[in-house]
Amino acid sequence: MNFVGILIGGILVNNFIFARFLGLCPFVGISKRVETATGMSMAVIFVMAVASAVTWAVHNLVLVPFRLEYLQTVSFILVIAALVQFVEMVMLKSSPGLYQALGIYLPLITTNCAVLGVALLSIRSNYTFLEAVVNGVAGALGWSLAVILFAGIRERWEITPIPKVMEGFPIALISTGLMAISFFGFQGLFRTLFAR
Amino acid sequence: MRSPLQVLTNGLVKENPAFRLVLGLCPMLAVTTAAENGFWMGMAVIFVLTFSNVFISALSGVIPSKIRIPCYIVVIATFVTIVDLVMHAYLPEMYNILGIFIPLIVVNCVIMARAEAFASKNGLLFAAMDGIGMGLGYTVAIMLIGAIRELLGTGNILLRGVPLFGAAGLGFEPAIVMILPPGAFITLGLVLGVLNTLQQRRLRQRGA
Amino acid sequence: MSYIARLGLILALITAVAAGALAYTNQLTAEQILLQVEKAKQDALLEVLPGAVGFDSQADLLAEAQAGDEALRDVQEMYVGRGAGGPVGTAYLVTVSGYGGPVVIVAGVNNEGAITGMKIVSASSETPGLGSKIKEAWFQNQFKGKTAGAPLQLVKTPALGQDQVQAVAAATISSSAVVRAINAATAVYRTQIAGGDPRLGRIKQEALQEIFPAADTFEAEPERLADAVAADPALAAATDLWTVKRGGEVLGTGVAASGRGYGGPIVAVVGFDPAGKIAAVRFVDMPGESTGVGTLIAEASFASQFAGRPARVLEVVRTAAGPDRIQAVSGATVSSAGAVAAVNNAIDLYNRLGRP
Repeated sequence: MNFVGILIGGILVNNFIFARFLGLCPFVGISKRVETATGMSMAVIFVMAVASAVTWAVHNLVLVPFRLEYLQTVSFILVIAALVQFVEMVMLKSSPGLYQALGIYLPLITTNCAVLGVALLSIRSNYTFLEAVVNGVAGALGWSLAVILFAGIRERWEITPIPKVMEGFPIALISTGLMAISFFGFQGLFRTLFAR
Repeated sequence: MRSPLQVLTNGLVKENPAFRLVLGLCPMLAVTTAAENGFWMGMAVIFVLTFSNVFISALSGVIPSKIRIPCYIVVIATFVTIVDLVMHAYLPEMYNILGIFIPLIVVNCVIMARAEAFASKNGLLFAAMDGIGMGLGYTVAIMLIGAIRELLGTGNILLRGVPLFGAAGLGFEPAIVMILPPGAFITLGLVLGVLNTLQQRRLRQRGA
Repeated sequence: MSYIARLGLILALITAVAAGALAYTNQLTAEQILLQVEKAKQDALLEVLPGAVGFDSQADLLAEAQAGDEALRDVQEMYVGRGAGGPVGTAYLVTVSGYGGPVVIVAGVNNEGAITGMKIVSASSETPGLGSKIKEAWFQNQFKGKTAGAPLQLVKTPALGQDQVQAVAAATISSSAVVRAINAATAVYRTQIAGGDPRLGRIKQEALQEIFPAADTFEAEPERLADAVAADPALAAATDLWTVKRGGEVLGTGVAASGRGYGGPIVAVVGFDPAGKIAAVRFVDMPGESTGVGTLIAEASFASQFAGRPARVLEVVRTAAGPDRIQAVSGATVSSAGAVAAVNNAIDLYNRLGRP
């Protein structure tokens, strides 16, 4: 599969929220305002790109040569947790402005299953290093697109009368379901563009 | 003082992790294309939750609070990997269906939340009961969503390959969208809405 | 001990215990995991290639096909199915990406070039109730008996043609993934098996060079051969025809032909000199002959008997050789008869075409 295919497919067709169901907790948690959604998105894109690269290296340069594949889950989650900590420290030291913008989102990312999910998916798809990184970026961009669009919708229904019992999670999930239906449209586009 | 049984039922009903606390959403939506998938996902969660609760409760005196999160992660990831290996060996078909959502149990908020909020502050027995109760509550919830989606989306429910409503099914045209991703969001949204309605009615009755 | 070091020590200790526990679990389950993966594959192979009792991996043949065509990368494994009386066909394991993830199939092709069966080993990422319907018997059975000689086509209406299969309604992507997988398998079949084993092609060339050491060009003449076979189907056992030259000068003719041996075909390369005599014979392929017995026909003591004889039909005898008579290898009469039959088939073609 070529890079363009992975990128477009990851953003529009196999969208992390609408098709793969990854990273839903922060999706619901931080989508109250477009501004916070955008901030979190930036942090996720950065962490997912770096995490994809690092976990690929851990798997192919350490686990496989030493036949330790069974330590995949443990090592990946520790690497991701350490990576997030490291990014947080570097950001704090080198650019306090960026830290102020993104810092509060970083601890949330460790438990974002999208990060571990994309790493596992890349390994299971036998991607090369570059493909894995592109896959990570595509997954994060798709997640960001979903969360920013959703925040835009959410800002509107926060001021709309909704039956009391549907407030909060129920209406959020149903709105997401309707967005997922509209994202089906991209499948046709993808098939036409990349038909073999 | 609560009894162990109360701790057990607490997770099942009052603080059901999926319906009341809305934790662990991803597998809840991803693997619920069939009731049976939900069952096995639930079993995996019960196993991981119970054992990690017990170990974290036992180690709570040893683990310094500064590094408790990484320690919890290691304990949880260990049990997740054990489930992963055992399922791969003895339930290969289900292992393939659940896919990455087995290793992803490690970042399932239910597990971490119970470790932090309950297991680290309670004794072994209570921690075990909490793990089983919360796990069962999660299993019931995930199976319910799976059953609704499977029934509406395929017109039948398959248990170990045997259709529950006979080979002909219930005789309606299944709504395919229910087993596609949008159906997952909409089903869970509506189920939560119905549960809210029931609870409000109960509160009103009690108040009246 | 500083506080930080203590923290590190505790974390390292917990991690070490965890790693130990996992190593132990892995040890307990590794064999079972391998076993069930292997068993699922074996069962599927036996199912798609009836009559086979064992399977020999053909990694070299597959790698060769993939070197020539990137698109064949989806084919992961290739096997020759061993039956009671020799090879019964080939089988392929293919992984393609379907709607939600990988779809793994195995397919078998018999010696006549027909698909003997296909089985979807895994399609667990396809949407249940939709894409997963590709596992239904009616869909999989469609492939049985279809030709491996050409790519199959997916159609949405009931399939009519020999090269068409019908898609599962509302699961076009999953269905087309399966067809793509089958087409990759048959493409390997076409380049490596149906078109003749490429290694065999090289061996024939080398044999020809041995027979005519002075030659520098071997002009293959498939059209002349095809015309002759079309005029007389009895000549179909001849598979190759070459005009052998050095510079512009014709040194002779080469013919490859097969005869039926003990457990399969025996392929002979026969060189004829311009005077119409047999220059030499080489037996290049005999997959069904018993090693150390039937395979002795390749030895010079047997093969050299042919050299210098006129291009007339030969006979195989157990006693001493004579004019138009070849002495069989003792204990390998059937193989010897097959070898002589192969040479006779080459002689027939040579006589029919006339000398160059």
